[in-house]
Amino acid sequence: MAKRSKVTVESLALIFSLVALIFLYFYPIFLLFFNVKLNEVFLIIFDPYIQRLFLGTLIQAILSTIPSVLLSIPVAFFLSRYDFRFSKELSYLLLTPFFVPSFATAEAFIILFGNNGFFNFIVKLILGKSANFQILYSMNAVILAHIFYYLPLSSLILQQGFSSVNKDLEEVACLASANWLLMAKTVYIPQVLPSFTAALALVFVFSFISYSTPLLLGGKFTTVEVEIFSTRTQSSSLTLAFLQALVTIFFALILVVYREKSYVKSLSYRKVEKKKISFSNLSPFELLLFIVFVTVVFLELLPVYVVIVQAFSRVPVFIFPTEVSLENFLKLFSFDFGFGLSFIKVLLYSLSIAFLVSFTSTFLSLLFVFSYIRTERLRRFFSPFFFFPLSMSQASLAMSLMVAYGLSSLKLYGTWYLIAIGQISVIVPITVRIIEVSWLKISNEVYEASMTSGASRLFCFLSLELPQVYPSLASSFLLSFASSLSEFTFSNFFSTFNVMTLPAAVYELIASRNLGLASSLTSLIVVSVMVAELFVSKVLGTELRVI
Amino acid sequence: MIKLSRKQALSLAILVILLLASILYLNFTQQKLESSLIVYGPEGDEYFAKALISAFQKRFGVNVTYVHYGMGAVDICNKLISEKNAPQADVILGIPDFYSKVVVNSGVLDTFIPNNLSLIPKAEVFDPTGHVFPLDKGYILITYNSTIIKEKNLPVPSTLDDLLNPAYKGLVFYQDPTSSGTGLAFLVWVLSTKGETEGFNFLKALESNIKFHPPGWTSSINALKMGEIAIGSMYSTDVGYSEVPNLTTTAEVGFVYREGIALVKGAKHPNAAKKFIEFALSNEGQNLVAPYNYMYPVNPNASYSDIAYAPIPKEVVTFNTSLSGNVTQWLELWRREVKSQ
Repeated sequence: MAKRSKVTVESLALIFSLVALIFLYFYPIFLLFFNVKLNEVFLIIFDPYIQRLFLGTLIQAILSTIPSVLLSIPVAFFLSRYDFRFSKELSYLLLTPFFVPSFATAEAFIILFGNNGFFNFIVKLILGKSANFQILYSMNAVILAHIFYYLPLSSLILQQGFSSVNKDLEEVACLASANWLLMAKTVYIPQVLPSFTAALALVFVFSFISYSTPLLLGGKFTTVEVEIFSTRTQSSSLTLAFLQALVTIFFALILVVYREKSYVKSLSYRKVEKKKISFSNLSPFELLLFIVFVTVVFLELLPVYVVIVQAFSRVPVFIFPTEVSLENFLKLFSFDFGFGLSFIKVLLYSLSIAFLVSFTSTFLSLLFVFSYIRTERLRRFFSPFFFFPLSMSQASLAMSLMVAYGLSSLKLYGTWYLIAIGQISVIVPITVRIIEVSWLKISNEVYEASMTSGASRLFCFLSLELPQVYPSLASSFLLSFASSLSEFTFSNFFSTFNVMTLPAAVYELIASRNLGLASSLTSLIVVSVMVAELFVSKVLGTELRVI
Repeated sequence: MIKLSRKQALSLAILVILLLASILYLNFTQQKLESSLIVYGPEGDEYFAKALISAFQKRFGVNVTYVHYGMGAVDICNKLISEKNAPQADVILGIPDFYSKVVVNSGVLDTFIPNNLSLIPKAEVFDPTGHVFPLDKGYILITYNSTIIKEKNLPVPSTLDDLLNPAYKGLVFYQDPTSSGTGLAFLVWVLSTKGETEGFNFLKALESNIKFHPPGWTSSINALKMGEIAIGSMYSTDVGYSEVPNLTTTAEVGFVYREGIALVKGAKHPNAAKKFIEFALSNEGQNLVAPYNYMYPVNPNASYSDIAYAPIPKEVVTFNTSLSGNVTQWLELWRREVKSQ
């Protein structure tokens, strides 16, 4: 009886999952790439200009990935091993840069690294008035911005790896008086490597397909994604988008296959306990680690601080607010976004959509993972699959959804449904990872025991698995909520007069040349994201998991 | 039987209530768009289009949807052309004069004679075939930050050739024409003045002075505000803009950027579409051009007091109609040979 029930429930979930995958990805992407011709693919492959673009993008992605992941190691190690007051809150706040809209980051970077910016002020103080630190509008600026964006993400993934290092092995190595190099070689590297490769894969893919950052800060440096956007009404754009998706999937798959092969080895059920830091009794290693951690947190949160402070200033900030005023915030309430849309209404739309997107993404991810997690063959297929939407150009994905559902017989353009579908399609791949990892931690023996003792699959899910993945569901909900609130591509693509989200409203303010108001609204988005992070850090009581 | 704790039950109840509240709020407060009329146009014209549509709806009670797909003027025209066999739009606005020939020749537009065309001076009509009607116009000028120019003791730039002065190295900008309408207008200005071959040679030579190509208006203003760039092409209405108080111009010469509006062939709602075009050319519609699009109305009865502060160039360059008008090829050439040289 139990066996029969298992097949029915999981099969139903699998069928529903496949329908959802077809709706969210296969059908719209099929429509988009339907017209790609093989001869055009070859023409593009042998085009020297395109080859140069791919090479430049590849170099940029590699140079963005390596420092992002390397710099995140001490941060992740520190957060996984040490505890101090507000450490949990800080670890959540570190995620904020990931949600700051790129146009706001670009402005913060100009304020910090520009000719008259904060860093050049320091450089001039040290090296003299003629010295100038030129980094903006180059590939270096793109790399710096990518490090800012992706270091927290990488740190989060590695933190998970460091947390699941086998405590027994670590203790044995300590008892054998192994030095830190030997510890790293024999204990940490083999066990953290799967998380390390996962971080490399995600940061690489994100850096490879990044659009706004190279556009706003790259100057004459350009990337494949910028080229796709610049030529988006020509057939060559689709071919290039197709080729780019193939390349990113190829790189991601190599790393995913490696991760799959080595993942089981990294699982550990004995959680590493955090050490309470005592500032009066720090070892030199701990002190160094603490200094590195504080410096990285400071540098990560500095542009976020600049975005927020700028909203309170009448003139461009240097580092502290000048001519402080609440004028821009107050004006927001009386601004007419057209068609009866007030600021409050836009805010409520955004919050409602964010709530629905978070709920649906979390529910769908739970369903996806439930449908494949206990069948190894299915897991090996589905788990890497979710890298595909992540590695696709967002502009291409938005266009494909518009073609499939916006102006087709469904006519969803001009409704909140299309915004929600677009956001869900990019959020689900991340929430699936969060839930999947948490699920894999559930002991297989306990699951098998409950099934052989006659429990139905549904009962086993509700009473055994669901309670154990609760924290990951809350994490998914938070990440989805913050992502939806700050999501720009789909909001801008699908917002119409009768429905608008906060990022689209920022764009509206920019179009109407109200840059001060746009700045204040951007800061509100950033602060909302930070409040959500702090709220969940209080409620969740566990680390956030991304992969 | 699964038992929930009181805390879990409460959390679940709150979740369900919030979920229902969100769905109800979105469904009941969002106005229904019946898409009786679909207007295509560039993203940059959205603010103006919205004002125009709002006024049109109030007057005629017709539902209108503005679709820009996040595209610029040329791209949205190409999108319309790509839909020739299954047109989605009824009206397209924001067609640049230098691209109107391409759109007209592709056969996606219909002709009709709006009554309100009689309100527009003949000199403003740029499409002799009667498909594209003038909507508005603006001037692109060489602007500069007078504080930086004075500080560095540099000569004041007035013409295109002045921009090649090596003393301006690292101070010059013009917007990326593949993402910005202003940038595209600058490119057409150069080609209209110098011809295609010489024009591209000029742009290649200019690259050595270029700091970067801002992707749009906002990034230009931000970089100007922070003193990252000092000399470049902007609309005349940007001179005196409060965010960059020292932005000025000699207004010796400028390029006129003209936009048009047209009826789509095979439009599903031709009568409403014609009514919309009539409204856009009327005094009421044209009065919205200056305050919402920062451009000049083509109807002389309309007010442009909102932008009266803006300088008008002494010499106005218009699109050189002898050019092939193949903007897609120009942009490709620009990306491959100018930007990435």
